Amino acid sequence: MWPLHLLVSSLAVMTAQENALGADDAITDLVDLTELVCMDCHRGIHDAEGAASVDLDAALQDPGEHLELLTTAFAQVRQGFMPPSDAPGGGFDDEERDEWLAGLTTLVARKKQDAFNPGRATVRRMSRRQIERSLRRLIGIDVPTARFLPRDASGYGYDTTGDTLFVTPLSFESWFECVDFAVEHMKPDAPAVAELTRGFARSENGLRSEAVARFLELAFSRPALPEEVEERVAIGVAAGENGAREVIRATLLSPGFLYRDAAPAEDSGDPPGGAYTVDGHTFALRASMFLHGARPTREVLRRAGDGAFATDESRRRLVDELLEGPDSISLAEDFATQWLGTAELNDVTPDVRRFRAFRRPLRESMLAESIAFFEDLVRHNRSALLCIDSDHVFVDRHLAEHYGMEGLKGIKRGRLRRVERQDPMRGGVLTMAGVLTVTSNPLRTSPVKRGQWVLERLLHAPAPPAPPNAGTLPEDDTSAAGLTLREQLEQHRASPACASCHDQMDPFGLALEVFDGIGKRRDVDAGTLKTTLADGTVITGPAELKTALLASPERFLEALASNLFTYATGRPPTLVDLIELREAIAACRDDGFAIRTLIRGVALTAAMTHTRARL
Amino acid sequence: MQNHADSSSPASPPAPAVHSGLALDRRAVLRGAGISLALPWLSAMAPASARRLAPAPKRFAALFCPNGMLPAAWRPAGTGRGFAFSPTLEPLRPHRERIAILGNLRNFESRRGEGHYVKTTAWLSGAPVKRTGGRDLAVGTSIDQHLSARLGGSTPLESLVLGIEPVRNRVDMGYSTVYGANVSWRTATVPAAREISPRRALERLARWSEPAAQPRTRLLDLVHREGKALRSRLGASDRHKIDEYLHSVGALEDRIAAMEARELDMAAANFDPDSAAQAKSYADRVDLMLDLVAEAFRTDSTRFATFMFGNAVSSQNFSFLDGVEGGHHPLSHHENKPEKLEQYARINRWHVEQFARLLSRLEAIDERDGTALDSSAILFGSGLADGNRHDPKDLPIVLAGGLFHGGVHLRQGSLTPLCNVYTSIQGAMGAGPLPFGDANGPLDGLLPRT
Repeated sequence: MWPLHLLVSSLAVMTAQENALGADDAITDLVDLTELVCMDCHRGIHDAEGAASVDLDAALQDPGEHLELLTTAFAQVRQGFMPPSDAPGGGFDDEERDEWLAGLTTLVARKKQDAFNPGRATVRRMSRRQIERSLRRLIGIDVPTARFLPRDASGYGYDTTGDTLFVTPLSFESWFECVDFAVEHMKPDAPAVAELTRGFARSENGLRSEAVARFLELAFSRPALPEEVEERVAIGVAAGENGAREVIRATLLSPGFLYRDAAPAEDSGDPPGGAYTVDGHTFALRASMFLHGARPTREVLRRAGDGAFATDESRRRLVDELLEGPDSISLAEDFATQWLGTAELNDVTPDVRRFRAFRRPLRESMLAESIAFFEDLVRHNRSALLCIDSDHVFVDRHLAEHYGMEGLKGIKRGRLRRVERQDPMRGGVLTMAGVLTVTSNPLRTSPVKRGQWVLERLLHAPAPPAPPNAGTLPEDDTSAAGLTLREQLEQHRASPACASCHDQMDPFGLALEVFDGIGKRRDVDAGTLKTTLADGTVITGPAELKTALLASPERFLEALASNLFTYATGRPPTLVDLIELREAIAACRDDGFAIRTLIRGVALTAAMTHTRARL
Repeated sequence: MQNHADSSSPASPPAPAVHSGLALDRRAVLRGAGISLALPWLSAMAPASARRLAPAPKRFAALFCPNGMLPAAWRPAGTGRGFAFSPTLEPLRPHRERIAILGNLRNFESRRGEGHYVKTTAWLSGAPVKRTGGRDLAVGTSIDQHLSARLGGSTPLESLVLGIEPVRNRVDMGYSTVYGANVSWRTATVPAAREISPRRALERLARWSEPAAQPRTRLLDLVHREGKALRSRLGASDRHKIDEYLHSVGALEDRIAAMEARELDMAAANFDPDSAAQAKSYADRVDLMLDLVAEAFRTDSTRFATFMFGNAVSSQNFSFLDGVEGGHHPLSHHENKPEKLEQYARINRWHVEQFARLLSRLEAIDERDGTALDSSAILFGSGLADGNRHDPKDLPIVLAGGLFHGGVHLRQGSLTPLCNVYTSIQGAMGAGPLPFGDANGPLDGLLPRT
């Protein structure tokens, strides 16, 4: 069943106000407020064309069935996107908003005690990069998978989402060819390959079987089934001197290698529909995929086989070991580039005439900067808040020039170094050239996109879609009807339908207008950068924007934790998961914001350590 | 067999009819850069018997344009046979008798959702689109994949699904961008894999034409069984993912069986894979991909193809066109400003030009009783009308090829399901029970040639 201690500890971190009210009162307030303010629009009525709108009534009655909806509702109400100011009673005031949020939290936490669905992520194929790293561990070479396999799509912003990791005739055929390449070029002295080859050099069947079983355990991250071993021994024997090679080929083509979490579940005896703790192999696989972007090593699997990772403490130790190892750079390479959006640098097309500096070397340096920055945080277990602002930046010669830095010694092309920032506006992820580039249009900056990026990536508050015919801004900086871009945005915000989101987004983007479409400083008057945040704070420019963001560090930690969660588990966190993640966020805060503490918390959530019993 | 390696060397005469003047121009440019691009590699894929004996097979291709078409520049004056070409459609003038311009069509299910994704991904199915960032994607089987499932099987490739732009790594407006990157859906939940790299598309075909490709049916048989075992261990909601795997292994087994049955007079393809990498500009890559479609049809490697000029909301920079400066999507939001209207229309017209060139290439392929164009239905258009309004009504659609009577502008009296066009195509090709999608019958006035 769902572990009760998690529930208890989640409740323990709730705010004093929630405790004072008492759970029943909190839920009553929630229902009353919803009835008064929200139900005019959200009682499951249908729009003119027959589509059901958001049915809050049904959701509150059966939160378990409507968890995704409630998660979205929580985020939108918290951020003030909902209810609009023209709702009955003028929407929520601050106190009502807090009450509503506390009530919903209590309701969801309480429902968790009943057989609450602990969440399900679709079975996942390995991504192209995960395949590449796993092959390196297994057969000792770097297989250029990008030469063979189509690029992976992404779901919820990450390429580790099972729903969008397709296997199609084209991709499997490409994989078939990639496996050909892999077995032709594999290192005979890679330990796993050498062991298998030695096994086949013996004529005794028992030894062969042992060797095949050991190889399969490495490739599938679980003990092999007898029939899986026998079939491969037969294939290997039939292939004569190429025996080991054919066994490897048959192993890499198997769904046991391509898909993760595919361990045959032993009958756990748990009631169907409930949740139970995963076995050591499965946890090792999940943790290794999350933190190393690859299947677990021989050493880790050996320990799993010896019964390790059955306790919270042993799982925590494994996570710390994986974070400590050099392969955790995959977090920077795979996770951070998708979280920050710099993975898109290869796809954006800034206009070369306007942005002459944007050539391939600079593009590559921008991507490298985002990787080096995050890798440094993890490697040295620095404060996660350095993502908001840091007094250092990572530059090579191209970036140093791009950032207008002077007097740097020993800065080379293509080799990034950690140096003190010279411009107080730089530092942190928000003012990285790569981030500022992917949030711009080809011909100009986009304050809206940049603001949306801050909301989504740093504050965990994605804005709802714009209504149809919302209008657009001109494509370049030229003014329409004599208005500047900023003035046109202000005009747009005058409409109440637009204001509830744009009041939140635009100020963030406007504060960043000091950077052009590829993140280079440009001359603007201070007046242009002066803007009022939705909570009334007046800020001027990026430095003050960062100070404002640092005022609520938990919000940023929640955004980072949620993104890590989605990347790790293959689905976005629901409100149930978010309540649980509060624990990790509090632990991180109490640990001086050490980033590994947050990552560890995500790695040890129930979604990672538990699975649903089969129905 | 002709020697394809020689056909592109300066000393040899140019390759035969397939090369239209336009295509030759491009190759001349590539040669000038020291690159040899021998295209008819695909003929290595075609069973000799098919080439010699069979009547011309019926083919279908669909060319998708993102961001709509400016209605004022698209709509021809007059209807029926007496219509006059509009500025956007002008490049189709040489093909007048082979095209039917279809007006007043709508894709009813994509009327809501958001501006682009649903109108792109359901363009060829007319199906409702589930709003999701990733979990439980759902659209509907597209007409090309429907035809391929019913009529394919006798060609080396089930279908050719081509594009230019990669999938962006994000959720937009609550919709997974997988939607915006796929018009071809093999099932309601699985898109047909697109190839966007000309190099990989070329290499793939070349590799499969080599007799040296060892059959490994025993291995495939084993992993197929292991896939089934895995499927039975998983919960119901995960089984469809393993079905993807099982289908893919099965398709490869079929392919290998087809290769083994091939006649021995097939020469291995002979071309320089790096040449594809030289097609660097957007226009060059579009040209190469459309060449692939024509060649695939010529060699009967497949009979079903789709191509996306860009993904939904494509901001492809069109500054390479005279008088255009900026990206496709931003310019499509013209706000009725004259300078933007003009640029938007120029981009639209460029797409029509590429379509016309494909028609020319197909027309230059001689077949038993005519040309490859005569036996084809080639659909061209967009999933929305005016990009400024995200309007899914009165879609810009042209159907070309000899399967239907052309030379007409058919404007329906009232808004009519786009799927009626697909129903007509399905009927003309004899592929399963009608109607298709949300159609209420074949399209009025669109007459099959018999």
